[in-house]
Amino acid sequence: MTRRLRRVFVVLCFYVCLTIVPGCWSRREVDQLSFVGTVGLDLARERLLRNNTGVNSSAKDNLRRQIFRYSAEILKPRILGGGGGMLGGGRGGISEPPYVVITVTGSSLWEAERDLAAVLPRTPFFGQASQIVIGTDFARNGVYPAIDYFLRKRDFRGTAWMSIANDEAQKVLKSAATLEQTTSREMDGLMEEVKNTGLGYAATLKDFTLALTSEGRDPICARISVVSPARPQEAAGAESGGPQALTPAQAAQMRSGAYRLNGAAVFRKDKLVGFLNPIETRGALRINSNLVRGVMTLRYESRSSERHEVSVEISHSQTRVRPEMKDGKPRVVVQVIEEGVLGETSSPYLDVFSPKVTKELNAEFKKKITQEVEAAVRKAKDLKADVFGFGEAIRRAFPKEWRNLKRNWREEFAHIPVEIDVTATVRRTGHVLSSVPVK
Amino acid sequence: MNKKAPDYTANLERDRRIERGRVSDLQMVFLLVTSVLLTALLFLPSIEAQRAHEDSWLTPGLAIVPGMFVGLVVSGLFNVFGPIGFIRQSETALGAIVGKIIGMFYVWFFVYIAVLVARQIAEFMVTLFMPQTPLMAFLITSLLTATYIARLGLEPICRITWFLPMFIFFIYLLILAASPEMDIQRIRPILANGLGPLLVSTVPASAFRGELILAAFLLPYMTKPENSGRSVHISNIILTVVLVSTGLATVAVLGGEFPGHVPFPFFSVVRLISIGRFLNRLDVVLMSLWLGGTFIKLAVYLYVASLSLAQVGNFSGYRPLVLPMAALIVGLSNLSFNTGIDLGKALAELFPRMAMWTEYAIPGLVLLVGWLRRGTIMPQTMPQTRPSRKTRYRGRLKSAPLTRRTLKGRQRKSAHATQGDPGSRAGEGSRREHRPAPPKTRKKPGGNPG
Repeated sequence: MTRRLRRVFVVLCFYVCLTIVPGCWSRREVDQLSFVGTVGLDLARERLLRNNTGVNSSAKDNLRRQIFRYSAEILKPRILGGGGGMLGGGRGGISEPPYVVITVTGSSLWEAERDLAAVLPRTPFFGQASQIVIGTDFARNGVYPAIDYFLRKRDFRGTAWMSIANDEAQKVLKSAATLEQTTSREMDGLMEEVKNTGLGYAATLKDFTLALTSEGRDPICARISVVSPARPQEAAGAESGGPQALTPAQAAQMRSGAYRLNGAAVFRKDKLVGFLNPIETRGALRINSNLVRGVMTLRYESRSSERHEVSVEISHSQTRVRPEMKDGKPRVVVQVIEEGVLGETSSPYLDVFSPKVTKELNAEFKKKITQEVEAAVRKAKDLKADVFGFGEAIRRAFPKEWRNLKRNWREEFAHIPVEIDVTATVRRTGHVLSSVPVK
Repeated sequence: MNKKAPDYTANLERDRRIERGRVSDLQMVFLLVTSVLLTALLFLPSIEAQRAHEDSWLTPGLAIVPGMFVGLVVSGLFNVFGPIGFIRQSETALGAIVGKIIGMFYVWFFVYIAVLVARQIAEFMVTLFMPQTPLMAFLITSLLTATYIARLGLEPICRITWFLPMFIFFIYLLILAASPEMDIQRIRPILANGLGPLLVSTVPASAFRGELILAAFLLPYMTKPENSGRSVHISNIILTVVLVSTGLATVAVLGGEFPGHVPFPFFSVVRLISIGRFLNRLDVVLMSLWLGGTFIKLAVYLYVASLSLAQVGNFSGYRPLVLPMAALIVGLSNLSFNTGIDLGKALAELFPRMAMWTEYAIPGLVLLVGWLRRGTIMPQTMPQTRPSRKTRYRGRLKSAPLTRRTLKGRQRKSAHATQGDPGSRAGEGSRREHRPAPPKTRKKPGGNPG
C-alpha cells in the first residue's frame, strides 16, 4: 500500500513538474515575435558623410567604415490571418496592408537589426523570411558581410531567395505588391513564375554561397528592377535618417511603385560587377542547366518570301558543359539539347507538314539559341566573372592542369574559347497543325 | 600458475555479480552502433571536410580498416583471455599493478568521452536552438537522465538502443528528402590532392570508430562472448554504410568547401530540405533523433566508467559510483572547454591522440603480451565461456534498480525456484565442468556438485 502510494506520489510529482518545467530560457512565444518576410540591405552614404565631421577622425577611417541601412518587412499576423476570411466585408475596398516596412541603420548588419527594437515592440523572427534584397551600392562594395550575417544567423534558412535591386533595396520593399498581400509572398511567386519565361535568374542564398565558396565559379542571382518608384518627395520623406516606420497611409500612397524580376546580377567574387539583360540571362540559365520554360520568337521566311513571326515555347532544355584540354590550353564545349512547342504564328501560310519548313524552323530555333548563349558568354567574359562554372568543370575533369590555371583563372576565363553546340527541335505544334487558313 | 586459476574465476564471478544483465549479440551490435553513430554523424563531417574537401565522404569508408582492427583485437582478446573484461585482461597479462594503472586510465578515458559527449549535447543545443540557455542547464539535465539510465544497468540500456533501426530509417528518409538539392557532380574530382589529406582526415574518424573497443569491456556480460568480435565487425559495417551515405549526401548538397566551415554539415543539409513549400523545417526531426541517440551514448559511457571503476577497485557494485561520476562529468564538461571552438579542437586533435592509445595501442599490446605469455598466466582449464544460469540476470524486464529490498526479494524467489526443481539443476551441473563458486549471500541449492 505504501509502495503504491509512493508510486502515485512520484507520478504526481512528474505531472506537476511537467506543467512548470517545459519551456526554457530561450523560449519564444508566438505573440512576442514579429515575423520578418523580406530583408533589404543598402549602404547608407549620407551617414558616411556626416561621420566625417566627427572629432579627431581622419577622413580615411571614416570612408572605410560602412554604414548599412537595414529594411525589414514585418508581417502583421492579425491582419494577415483574419483578413483572409472577412476580406471585403468589414474593411471595404481599401484595407490596411498587412505588413510594415521598417528601416534602420547601423555600422554592422547585426547592430542594425538589433536597432529594430527601437521601433518594434516584438522580437524579430527570421524563420519565415524568404527574401533577401540587396541594393546595388551594397552589392558593388561586396556582399560578403550580408552572406556571413545570414549564414551565421540561427533561424535564417539557406532556402531564402537572393536578389539584387538595380536601385536601393528599400524601394523594392516599399513598393506595394500587385496580387499577394505581402512583398515576400509576392516575390516568392515571382521567383517561381520566372521559370515560365527564363528571363530572370532565381537563386537562393545557398546557391549563392556555394558559388562563392567554389573554386572556379562566380555567383549569379536575380535582378529586381524598380519600375515606377514612388514619387520623389515621399521617397525622400521615408529616407530621412533614423528608424522610421512607414504608416499604412504612406504605404498606400506608395502603392504606385512596382518592381520587376528580370535579368541577373553577376558577381566577381563577392562584388557585383554588372547585370545581364533578360536575353543574356536566358543564355546563362541554359548553360547552367536551369532553364525550365520560355518563349522565343523566331523570324521565318516562307516560300513567297513573306516574313512570319513564329513563337516557340521551350519545353525541354538540357545542357552539358564539357571542358577539353589541347596542349595545356583549356577550351569549353557547351552542348545544348533543346525542344520546343510551336505556340503562335503571325500569318496563315505556315505549312508544318513540309519538311523544308520544319528544317528551316529548326535551324532558326537553333540560331536563336546559339545567339542567346553567345550573348551570355560574351557578357560574362567582358565582366571577367565565371558565372557558368567553367573553371569548376575544368577542375573536375582536369585537376592537375587546374592547379596552374586557377591562379589566374578569371583572366583565362575572359579568353577561353567556347564552342556552342546546339541541337534544337520543334517537336509539337499545339492544338493546330498547319495554320488555320484565312479565306 | 595454479595460484592464478582461482583468481581468474573469482574475478569473473565478481564482475558478473556487479552487473547481472546479459547482452545478446544483436543487442551488442545495436549498443555499439548507437554509441558511435550519432556523434560521428554530426561532428565528424566538418572535421573531415577541413582537409579532405570533396573526398570527405570517403573518410568513413577508410575508417573501416581501424574498425576491423578493433574487431580482430576484441575476438583475439576473447580467444586468449576468455570472457573476462578488458580491465581484468590487462591485469592478467601485465600484472596487478600495471593492470590497475591501465584500468584507471580507461576509467579516465571513459569519463573523458562522457565529458565530450555531454558538452557536445550542450553545444549543439546552445548553438542551434537555445542560445540564451546556460550550458549548465543542458549539462545537468542530460547527466541526470544518463544517471537514471546508467543505474538501471546494462539490459535496460540495451533495450533503449532498439530505437536504432528507427534512427537509421529516418536518416535515410532525410537523405531522400534532400535529394532534390543534390548534384552528384560535386563529389568530383575524386582524390585530386592524392591520398595524403584523406589519410590525415581519417585519424579523427578512426578515433570515433575505435570506440567499438567498448565491446571488450562488456565481454563478461554477453550471452555468447565468443561472438563479440563478430558483433564489432557487423557494427563496423553498419557504421561505414550509414556514414558514407550521409557523407555523400553532404558533399552532393554542399560541395567540398562549405562543409568544413559549418559546425554541423549534415544538419545544414537537413535545414535546406523543403518539399513542396509545406514540408520543411525537418531539422527538428534530426535534432530529436540526435538528442535521443546521444543521451544513450552518454548513459553508456557513464555506465562503463562506473563499472570499470568498480572493477578496478574490486567494489561489490557500481551503482553508488554513478551519481558522483555524473557530478564529475558535469564539472569537467563545464570547465574543460571555454568555447565551442575548444570543443571542436578537442574532438579534432586531442581526442584522436588519446584514442590512438586507448583504442588501438593498449588493447593491441595487452593482446600481444597475453598471447606470448598465454601458457603461464592463464588457468590450465578454461572456465566456461558463457555465464551460468545462476549468475545470469533473472529479474523481470520492468524490474526496479537493485535496492536492498528488491535484492532480498529476488534472492528469496531464486532460492524457492532452485529448491523446487532440483533435478534440472543437477543435470546442468554435471554438463558443465567449471561451475563457479556461488556467491556467499545465496543459499546453496541442493544438487550442486561444485
